[in-house]
Amino acid sequence: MKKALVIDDENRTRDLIAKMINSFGLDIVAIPAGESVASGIKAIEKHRPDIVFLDIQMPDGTGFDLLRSIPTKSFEVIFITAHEEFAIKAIKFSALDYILKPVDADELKNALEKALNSIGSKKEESQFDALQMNIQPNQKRRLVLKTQESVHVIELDNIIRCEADRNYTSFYLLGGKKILVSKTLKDYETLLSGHNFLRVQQSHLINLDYVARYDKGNGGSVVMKDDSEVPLSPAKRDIFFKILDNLL
Amino acid sequence: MKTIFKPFLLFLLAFMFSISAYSQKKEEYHLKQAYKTEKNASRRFMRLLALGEFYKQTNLHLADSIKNVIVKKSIPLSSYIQFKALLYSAEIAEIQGNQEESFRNILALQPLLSKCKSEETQFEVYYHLGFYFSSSLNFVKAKGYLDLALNLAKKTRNNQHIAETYSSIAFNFMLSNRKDSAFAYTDQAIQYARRSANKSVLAESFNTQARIYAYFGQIELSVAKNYFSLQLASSVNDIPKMARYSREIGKSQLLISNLIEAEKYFKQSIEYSQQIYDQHQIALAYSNLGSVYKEYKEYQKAISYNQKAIGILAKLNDYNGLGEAHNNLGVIYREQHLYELAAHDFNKALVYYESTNNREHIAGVYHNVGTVFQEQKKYLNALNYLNRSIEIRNQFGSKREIFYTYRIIADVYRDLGKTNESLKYLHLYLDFLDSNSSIQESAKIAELSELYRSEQRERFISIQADSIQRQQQEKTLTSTKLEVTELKNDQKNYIILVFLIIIILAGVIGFYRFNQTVIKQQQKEAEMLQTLLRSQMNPHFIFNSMSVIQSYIYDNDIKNSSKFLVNFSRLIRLILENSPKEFIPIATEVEILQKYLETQKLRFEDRFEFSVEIEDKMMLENALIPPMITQPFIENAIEHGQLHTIEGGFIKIVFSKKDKMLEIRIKDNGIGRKQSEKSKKSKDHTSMALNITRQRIDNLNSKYKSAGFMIIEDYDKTLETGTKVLISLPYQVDAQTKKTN
Repeated sequence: MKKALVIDDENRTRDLIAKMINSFGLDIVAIPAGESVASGIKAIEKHRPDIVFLDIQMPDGTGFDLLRSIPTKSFEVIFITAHEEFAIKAIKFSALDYILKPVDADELKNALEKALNSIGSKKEESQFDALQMNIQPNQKRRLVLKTQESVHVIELDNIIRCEADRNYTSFYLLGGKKILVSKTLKDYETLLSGHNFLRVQQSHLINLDYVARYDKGNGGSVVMKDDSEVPLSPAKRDIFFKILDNLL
Repeated sequence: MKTIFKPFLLFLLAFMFSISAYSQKKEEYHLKQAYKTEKNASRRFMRLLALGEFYKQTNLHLADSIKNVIVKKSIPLSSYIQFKALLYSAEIAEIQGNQEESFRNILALQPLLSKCKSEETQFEVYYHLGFYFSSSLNFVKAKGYLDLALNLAKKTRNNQHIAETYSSIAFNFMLSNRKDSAFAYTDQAIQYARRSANKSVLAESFNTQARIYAYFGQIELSVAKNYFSLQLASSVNDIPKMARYSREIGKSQLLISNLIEAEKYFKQSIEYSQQIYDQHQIALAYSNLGSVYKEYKEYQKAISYNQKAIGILAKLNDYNGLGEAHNNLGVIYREQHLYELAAHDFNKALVYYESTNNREHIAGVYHNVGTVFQEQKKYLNALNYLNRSIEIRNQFGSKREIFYTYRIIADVYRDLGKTNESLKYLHLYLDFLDSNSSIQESAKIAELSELYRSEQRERFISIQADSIQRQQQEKTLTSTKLEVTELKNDQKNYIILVFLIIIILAGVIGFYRFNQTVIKQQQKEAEMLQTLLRSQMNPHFIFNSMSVIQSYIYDNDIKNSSKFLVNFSRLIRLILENSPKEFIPIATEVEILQKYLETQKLRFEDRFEFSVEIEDKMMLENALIPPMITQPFIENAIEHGQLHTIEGGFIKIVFSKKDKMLEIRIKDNGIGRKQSEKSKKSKDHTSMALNITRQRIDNLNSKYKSAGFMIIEDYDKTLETGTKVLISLPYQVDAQTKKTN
C-alpha cells in the first residue's frame, strides 16, 4: 500500500482531502499530517510518503520553502492552492501538478492517478530546481518539458518556435534540437504568451525574438533566424506587425 | 582726410552698384540660356515668359519688345499658354498706360476660361475682368468679378491673391465713392498681404490705402502710407513700384504745395524709371514736373516738360496720360491768360479722355474750361461747362472735386451780380469745408475774406474760417497722431494678438492640467478602492473558506455547513455593500468584524477567541468609521500570527473616543512580528496591508486636517510575542442623526 501525505494549515481541508483520496479505493492511503512547513517536514521524515499533497501558503512559510529544505525528494508532489496565480504559473512552467481549493474530486483523482504512474520513475531534481527558479520574481523562466525518456529544463531564450502535431507539440530549440512533448500547443500558448511568444497560425507558436524577416510570398510567412519558414495566418497579421513594430 | 574719403566712398558706391548690375546680368544670362537650350516648345515658352517677367522688373523696354514674340509663339500651343501670353501682354500694356490694348487683351482672356479650368487661370481672368470693369466705372460688375476672384483666392489659400483682390475691391469702392467700404477692404488687403510675407504685395496694399486717402482728400495720411510703401518696395528692390510710389508722393506734395519735396520725388521717380527703361512713368513724371514748374511760374520749363511727356505718351498710346499732359498745358496757358492756347489744349485733353471714357477727368477738364470762360468773362459758357462738370461728378467720380466747382460758380454769379445765387453756391462750398478738411482750405478762406469786404460777411466768414482752421488744426493733429498710431497699431495689434493667444493657451493648458489632476485623483481613488476591496475580499481567504464549507458538506454536517455558509455570505454582502463608502456607522463595522472573525474562527475550528468592544456612547452618537480599517491587522494576527497554533490564542478589538479622535486598539497574543517576519510570504502581505491602512489614514488627515496616526508594537515586549496596534482617526458623527438629536 502506497502512502500519501496531506499538508495544509487548515484542519478541515486537510482532513477533507485525505478522506476524499481514501474514498477513491485506489492502492494508496492518505494521511492528514502537518499544518505548517515545520510540521510538514517532520511528517515527511516520519512517514516517507510516495505522494505529498502540499499547501502553498502556510503560516510559517510556503510549500516551496518546505521542498527546498528536503534535499532528496523521493516522492511525487501535488500542490494544493486556494488562489496564488503567481505560484500556479511557476508550477505549470515546471511541469508539476496542482489542485485548486475547494477540491474537485475528479481533478483530485486524475492528479493522483498520474502521480501513481510516475512513482518509481527516476526523480529529477532539475524539475524542482526549475520550480525554485520560476517562483523567484525577475528571474528567467525555465520551462520543463517531460518526455518518455527524460526531463528537459529549457530557458525560454532557447526556444525558437513550437509546432503542433495533433496532441503533441514539437519544440525547436537553438542548435537545431527538437523535442516532442505530449501536450497540446494550446497549453503552451497560454503558458508562454506574455513571454514574447505569439501563435502566428493554428499550428505554430513562435518566439518573436527569433523572427528574421517577413516574406510576402505564399500568402505571407515568417522566416525565423534558423531559416525555418512559418506561415502567418491573415487573422494574426495585424497583431504580428503591431508587436514587431514595438520591438524594432 | 576728407579728400581721400570722398573718392573712396564714391568708389564703394560704384562698386556696389556694379555688383548688383553684375548679378542682374548673370540672372538674365541664365534665363536666356535656359530659354535657348530648351527643346520642348511648351517649356521653351514658359522659359521665355520667365525672361519676360524678369524684364518686367528690370527693363521694360525689353519686356515690351519680347511681348510680340511671346504672343506669336503661344498661338500654336495650348490654351493655357495662350492665356499666359495674353495675360503678359495685358500687364505690359497696362504698365505702359496703353489702356486700350490692356483691356483688349483682358477681354480676350474670357473665351479661354472655358478651356482652362485651373483655379489659377480662373482667378486671373476674374481678377483682370474686375479690374477692367472697375476702370470702366462699371462698379457692380467689377465687384461681381472681384468677388469671384476673391472666392477662388480664398479657396486656394493664396494670401497674395487675396490681398491683391481686396485691394482691387477697395479701389472699386473708392471709385464709387464708398469711403468706409474702401478703407475696410484695404485693411483686409493689408492683413492678407502681411500673411503672404511678400513685401511687394504689402507695399502695394499700403499704396492702395494711400491712393484712397488721396482720393478722399486726406493728403498727409496718403503721403505717410506711401512713404511706408516706398520703404517696403525699396527693401526688396522692386524698382517699378519705387518709381510709381515716388511719383505718387510727389503728386501729393504738389497738392499741398510742398514744391521742393514734390520736385525731389518726381526726379527720384524718373531716376528709378530710367533704371528699368519705364518710358511711361518717365513721361508722367515729366508732366508732373511741368506742374511743379508752373507753380514756380517757370512757364517755359513747365510747357517743355509737358511737351516732352506728350511726345513719349503718344508713342505709348497712353490716352489718359496724354489727357493729363494736355490738361496741364491748358492750365499753364490759362495762368498766363493765353486763353486760346489753353482752350486748344483742354480740347485735346477732352478728346483723349473721351477716347478712354475717363469721366472723372472729363469733368475735371470741363471745370478747367469753365474757369477759362469765367476769366474771359464768358459767364454763360462758363456756367455751362461748370454745370456739366458737376453733373458728371454727381454721377461718377470724386464728390469733393464738385465743391471747387461750386466755388467757381459762386464767383461767376457774383460777377454776374446775382448775389443770391452766388451766396447759395458759396454755402454749398462752405458746407463742404465744414465737413471736410483739406490743406488748401485755409488759403481759400483768406481769398474769400478779401473778396467779400462787407463787414458783416467778413465777420461771418472769419468766424467760419476760425472754426474751420481750428477744426483743421485738430484734424491735422489727430491725423498726425493717427498716422503714428496707425503705424504702431499694426505692431500693437500683433502684440495684443500674441498676448491673447498665450492667455488662451495658458487657460486651455491650465484647464487641461486641472482636469488631468482631477482625473488622476479619481483614478488614484479608484485604484485605492480596488486594492482595498481586494485586501478585504482576499481571494485566499474566500477560497479557503469555501474549502471549509466543502469539508462540512463532505462530512454531512448540515447544521455547520449551513451556519458557515450563511455567515460567510452575510460577510461578503456586508463587505461588498460597505467597502466603497468612505465612512460607515460603527455598528455596521462591528457587525462586519464579528462575521469576519466568526468565519475565521470556524475555519480554524474554534482554536482562538476574540472580542470586539465599543463604548455605548459611540453607538448612541452614531459614530462613523472608515470600513474595515482594522481588517488587515486582524487577518495578520490570525493567518500569520498563527493564533490557532497557540494555546489560548485571542484577539481583542476596542473602539473608544479620546478627545476628538476615534481610537482603535487591536491586541493579539500570536507569535509576534519578529517570528512571523521570518516567512517572506507573510512579510509581503503584511507590508501591503500596512501600506493601504497608512494611505487611508493619510487621506483622512489631509481631507479633515486631522492628525490621525497608527502605532504598532509587540504585545509582550519582553518575549517579543503578540502585536498591539493603535489607530487614531478623526472622530466623525453621522450628520443626520446629529440633526434629529
